[in-house]
Amino acid sequence: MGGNPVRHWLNRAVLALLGLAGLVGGGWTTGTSLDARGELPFALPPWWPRWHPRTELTDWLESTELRDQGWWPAAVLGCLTVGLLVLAYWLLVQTGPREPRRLALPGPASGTERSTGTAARAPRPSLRTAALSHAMAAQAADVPGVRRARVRLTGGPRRPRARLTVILDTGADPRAVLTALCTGPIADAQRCAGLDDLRSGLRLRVAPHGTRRTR
Amino acid sequence: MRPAHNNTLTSASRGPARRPWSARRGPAAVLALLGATACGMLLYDQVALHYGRPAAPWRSRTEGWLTDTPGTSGWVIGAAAALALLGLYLMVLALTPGGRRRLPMAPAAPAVRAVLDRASAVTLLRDAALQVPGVTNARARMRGRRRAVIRVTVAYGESTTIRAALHEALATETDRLGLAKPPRLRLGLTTGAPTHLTPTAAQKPPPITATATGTATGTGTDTGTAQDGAAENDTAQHRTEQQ
Repeated sequence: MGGNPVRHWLNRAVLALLGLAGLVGGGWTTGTSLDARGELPFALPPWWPRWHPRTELTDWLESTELRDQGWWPAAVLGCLTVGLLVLAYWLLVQTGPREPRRLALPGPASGTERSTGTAARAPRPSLRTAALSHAMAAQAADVPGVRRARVRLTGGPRRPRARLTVILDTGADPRAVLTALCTGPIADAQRCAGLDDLRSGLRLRVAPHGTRRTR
Repeated sequence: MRPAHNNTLTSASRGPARRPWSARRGPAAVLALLGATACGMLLYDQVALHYGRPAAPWRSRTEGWLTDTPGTSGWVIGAAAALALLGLYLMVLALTPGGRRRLPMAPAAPAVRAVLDRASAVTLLRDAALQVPGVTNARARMRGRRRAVIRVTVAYGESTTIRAALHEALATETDRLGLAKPPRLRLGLTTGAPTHLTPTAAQKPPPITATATGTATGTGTDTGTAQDGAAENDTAQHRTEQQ
């Protein structure tokens, strides 16, 4: 469900690259080692690189005497630090979406702003995000068939995005609930807060319960 | 596929809920955590070396093992094969949509996307099957995202009637789910003796319901087991008498 598209494609690209690296590296090492043991039931194709990874790498490192250069320890430290920071950032990005504290409201100021030019000084009307999300959650919980509802408004103050997690009662009608939610809290939020292009993502679940026997 | 600024018009005109792609947050977080831990440990060790402390024992041991183990060792081959499999798994994760446990619902309004958990759809289908008279046990599960298999135990009644009733009830329920692509239903009917019904501790209704039904039916508590948690309405009593 939507979310942060940057994170979405970053995750998928990194996963694909790491997966490709693991597949190629692991497969190549397996093939080469099995071939060296003579346990491979078939001959490796001619294009298969046959040099041994570890010995070649250590030989190369020793021949270039990289480790004796003055900048080597600094380079190692630098690479490790950058790697740690990048990975920590990647980990941080995975945490849940953040709510902006306030949402920008399209008040009368926004209409006159362009023409006068001075109106930009006036404080733009804004709305506490929690106020709107709590109101939406309370209204959603009143829809018949809804047991609990949780609303988060993410995506930034200008283009918020509502995420509703709705727990349904046993035997609720998901289609009717969805329609009621769209005409109820979602439509009201769009109308009252002036968020005409408010996008919403809903996740509907039924509260878990034990097997009910028939009568 | 999902541009950052897709306006409501295009997303509405794109029509019925395309399957939402999972962001793969879990695998990404695990990988990032593992990588960050490894980087942090190595960095700590390097800094310690820099200040004249000896290398950490785990690192010297790993280095020694790496230099001593020949490339043809079984351990190396095993680890390499595991790495290749892991890589394949990561690529599958990266290239498939995921989110198989969430079923997209038919759009009810523009700019609204809704999903229903697959487990919840299964629960609702099972409950619908249990409402049919004569059905004493029902189990439902989804095969993938397109097919639902419902296995039903019938204790009494004409099986063709019950089958027709089940088909109707399940079709109604599938419609009520409001999914963009309703699952195809497969129904399995088993005729079972009511002895199956002895409730286990987990399936026993809460005590308040039990006493309520006991007073309502009069015989509920005596006849025990099956009718105990069940006789809540008129039709149920009626059926009990039929037995």
